[in-house]
Amino acid sequence: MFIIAAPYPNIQTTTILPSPDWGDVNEPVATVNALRTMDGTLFTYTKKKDQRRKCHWDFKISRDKSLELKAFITSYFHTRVRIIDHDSVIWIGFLQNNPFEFVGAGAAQSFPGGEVVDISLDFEESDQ
Amino acid sequence: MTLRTTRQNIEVLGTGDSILRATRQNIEVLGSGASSLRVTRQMYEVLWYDNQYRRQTADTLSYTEVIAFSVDRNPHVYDTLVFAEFLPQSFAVEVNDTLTLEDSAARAKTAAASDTLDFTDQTEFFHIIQDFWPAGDIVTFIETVDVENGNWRFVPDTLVFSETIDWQGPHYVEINHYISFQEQINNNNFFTETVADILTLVQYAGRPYTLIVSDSLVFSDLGKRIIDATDSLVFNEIVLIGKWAPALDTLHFNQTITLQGSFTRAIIEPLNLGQSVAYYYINPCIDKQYHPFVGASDVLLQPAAPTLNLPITQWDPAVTRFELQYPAMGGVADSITLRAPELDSHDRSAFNRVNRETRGGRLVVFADPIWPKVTTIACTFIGLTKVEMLGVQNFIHSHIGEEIRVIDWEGRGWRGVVIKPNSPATCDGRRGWSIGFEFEGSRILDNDSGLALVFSDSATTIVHRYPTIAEALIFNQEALYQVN
Repeated sequence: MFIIAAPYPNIQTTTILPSPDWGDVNEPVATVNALRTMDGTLFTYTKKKDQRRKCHWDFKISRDKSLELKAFITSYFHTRVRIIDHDSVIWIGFLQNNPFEFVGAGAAQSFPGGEVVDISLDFEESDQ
Repeated sequence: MTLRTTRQNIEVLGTGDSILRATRQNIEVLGSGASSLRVTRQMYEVLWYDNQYRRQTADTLSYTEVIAFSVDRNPHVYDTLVFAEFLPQSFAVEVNDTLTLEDSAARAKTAAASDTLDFTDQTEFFHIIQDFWPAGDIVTFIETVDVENGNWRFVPDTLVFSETIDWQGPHYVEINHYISFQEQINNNNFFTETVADILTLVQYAGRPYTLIVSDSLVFSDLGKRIIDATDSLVFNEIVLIGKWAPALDTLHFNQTITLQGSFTRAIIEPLNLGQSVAYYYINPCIDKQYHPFVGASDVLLQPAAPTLNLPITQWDPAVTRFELQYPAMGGVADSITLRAPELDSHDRSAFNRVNRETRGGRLVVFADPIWPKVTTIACTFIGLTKVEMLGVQNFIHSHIGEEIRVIDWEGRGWRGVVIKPNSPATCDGRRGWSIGFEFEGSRILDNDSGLALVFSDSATTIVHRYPTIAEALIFNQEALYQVN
């Protein structure tokens, strides 16, 4: 179960998605700029960025759920969202896709809407 | 004894040592001779030692009482003074009484300082032209109280008219108090004249803690056996003769309120406090159905929540598959219908946002809701005949850059432009062509509500009828004359 709620902190709307596919990504956004002097001394310039992280999830959802998610994104694409992922980890940040691309993956007669839609969500924490 | 003295002339000379010396007296007496004295002319001329005619008679009398107490008492200091001047001659020029009463009560708690003044002026027998001076009474009340500390309340000017009539019989009596301003100028010359009545009530309270400053003009009528009690405030201006003389009645009421007012202030909550409630519940199909859980929120500037209803019109495969129409709105002038596109169609939603990171590494995203949102549809059609493929290319070429309307395979209406008119068409096999289609636009809300302009004209004609009313009243008289 994957729960997205917004706008954070005054949460009003909650959307429930199925768990994402395998291959979800979790990466820190910290950067290091390593420089060496002429004598080989190493200097590093780092940006820890408050230990924030980026996440990437791929979902395969029904057509109706994709419409719900699209309506959710249209309303809250610029506000902070709260995500409780499939591992029950709570994330606070922004959805960063641009554009959000809903791909009609195939027909699914038993699914609401009759189709399966693929959608990827890029997420970045706003602060820790 | 019959006295007939026709003229008497006496001159008396004094010694000049400040004693009166009458220098000349001229008396003419005409008598009838029957014990009746008739003095027709008598003239006194009195010469003072400085040899001037004395034409003024002045009485100067000064009373000064001063009572000093070392302790507070209730003293009573009064002056009674009567001036009486009488000049019987017809050449009297001026008769004035000047009286100044000054009462000073120092350190008085309850002492009364009052002036009582009675003017009685009578002018008569004026025969000298250009020296006419009327009789006037000028009453001026000036009270000044200098107080170092307290114990005073008010300084009144009281002008009291009190008349009492003892009712003695069945007669109608009348008591009137008049403050009458009557000026009348009878002038046959062409000089500008001003006649003004001014009744000015001025109160000034210089102490900041004085509470009441008021002017009152009170009409109070009380009668035991009268019928009408009437208060009249009458302005009468009458212009009898004049070239230009407006008659104006002006009654000004001026009220000024200083530092007293009622201010209505709007109460603004600057903290922008708000509450929101969110909820959700889990059931087996909740991750598949369209079911956003929308709670409540009264936080200002919150984004609009998603709609609770499914925002599409589900397609009817028996009716429409994919249709391109021109123009975008209104009646269809050109259209082409295709089969539904293949799966793997793309629905892209792009937004304008500003992403920034603070120096501390915090991510901040801003977007104005009114900034444009772009939706792009990209899909692929296969299995088209060559005629259908050419039809699509011709349609796109004919309306390149123009707004068209798209009815997609789900029955949704879109309005926008084809952004990739150069999509290649590929011949996949015998009688089988495929072509890509990429379209950017926005949803037409409330799809297919006719999409046609409706003109409704209403013309109303009001017909006025003017009937002709013809009434004929015919009298037929017939006179029969019978001549016998």
